[in-house]
Amino acid sequence: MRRSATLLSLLLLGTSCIAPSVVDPGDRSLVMGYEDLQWSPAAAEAIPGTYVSEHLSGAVAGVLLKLVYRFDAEGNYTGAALIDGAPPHFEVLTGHWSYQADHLQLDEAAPATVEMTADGWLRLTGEEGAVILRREIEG
Amino acid sequence: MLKKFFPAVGIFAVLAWTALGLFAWSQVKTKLRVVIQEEGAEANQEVALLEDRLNTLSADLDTLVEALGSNFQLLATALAEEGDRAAVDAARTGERLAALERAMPAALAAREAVGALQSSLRQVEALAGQLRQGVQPAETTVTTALLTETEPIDVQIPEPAPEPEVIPGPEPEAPAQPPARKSFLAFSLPDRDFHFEGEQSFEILSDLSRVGFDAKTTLHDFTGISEKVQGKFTVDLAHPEQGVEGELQVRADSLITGLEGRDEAMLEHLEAEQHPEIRFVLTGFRAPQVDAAKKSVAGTLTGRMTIRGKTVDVELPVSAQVDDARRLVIEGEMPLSLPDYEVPVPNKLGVITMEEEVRVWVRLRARVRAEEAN
Repeated sequence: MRRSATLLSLLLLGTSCIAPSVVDPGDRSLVMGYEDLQWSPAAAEAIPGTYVSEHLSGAVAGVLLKLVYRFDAEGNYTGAALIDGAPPHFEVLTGHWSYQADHLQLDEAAPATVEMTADGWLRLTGEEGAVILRREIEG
Repeated sequence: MLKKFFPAVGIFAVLAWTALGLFAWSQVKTKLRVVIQEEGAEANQEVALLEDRLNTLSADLDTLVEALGSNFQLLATALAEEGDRAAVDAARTGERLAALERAMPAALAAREAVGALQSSLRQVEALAGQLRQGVQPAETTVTTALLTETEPIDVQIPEPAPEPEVIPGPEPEAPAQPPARKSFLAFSLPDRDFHFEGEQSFEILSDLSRVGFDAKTTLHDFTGISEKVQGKFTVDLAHPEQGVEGELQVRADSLITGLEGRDEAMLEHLEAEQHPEIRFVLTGFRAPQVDAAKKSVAGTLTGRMTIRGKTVDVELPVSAQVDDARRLVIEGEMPLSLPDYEVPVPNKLGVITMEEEVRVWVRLRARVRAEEAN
């Protein structure tokens, strides 16, 4: 009897060190990390770099799966878009970018509102939707 | 004697020689042509012959050029006529498409009205059955309301114009692609967007989906989660009651609870090695609540759940909504009894016991499959 009580006590002590681990219903969905970013107008000199899309919204989200851009300081850019299809395929283009009054213009495309965060996330917004891009380290 | 013999022989020889000469002349007179000309005339004759041949060829070439010119003219005329016909066809097709687009809202409204009428008809049939059995119907007002709500809708879809004469042409090499236009991202993207109405095939986005369960024990409650979810399904979001087909799969060994020892025990109880997959085969959708404006739908998914090789019919209340990324976000939760699947309920020394019933939940994101979107 005493032995059983000791075992029970040890068991209870052991398990009492384990914290409950029930996930709150509000936290069941995956969090992607871009939901709470603080956006502000971009400075032209901060734009050069390589970016990979993390989130697409609006009409462009219906046809695009991924987007990659590389902007250089001389005003050249190259981009690759993974377009949804059967099968999905990449389209690649190169051209010139310019920045004026919070708007980024890629060649003859319509200007896109551009915003950035302090740690280099980039958001482009246009008539067909918006894309949030994460800055990537090259090399 | 000799004086007479020799003159006779001489005369005979002269006559014989003359006769032979005449015979030879008669034999060769038709086969021999003798031309007497000055030196260098032969070369001039060859030049003259070449000139003659050249003139003949030149005349032939002129005739050929004339014929080709005539044929090219005929070809150009035929091409121009065909181009005119194609332009007329394109204009007619455009007019018909525009008319169909104008008629689309009315057609959609008519479809909804037909759905409501079918529902009303079923209720009327049910009422008639009750009346035949002498039972007092309880929902007469609902039926009346449904019937009165349904107004006639005039859908005018224009008749196609008479088809022009079909001119056989080369077969197109590739199917027509959706029109592409240059977006603000500088890429030319297909003009395609999410449609709430109509049957579509969806694919679960494994990297953005989770399923799990909440379990209660006598000491510490816990959650098990898997992010290895796969699946496809087909549904008309505006009319899910018309049928849902598909399947979800979860790898049993991908479930984690945050405690290594507990995970090992859980996988043993699930016999994850022998039954590596947990499956949910969708069979239907009940009691749908559709809000097309908000692109949302709620109701109860019915299906067959297979855990540890044991299959049980289940009902999963769910809600689904299309988000700004054109994904279908699905949330659902249901109770699940472990003994139904012959899963042993964990028990430590009879002191720490787990409840037989757990709460299974899903948080899924799905995307319209590309072949549908095209």
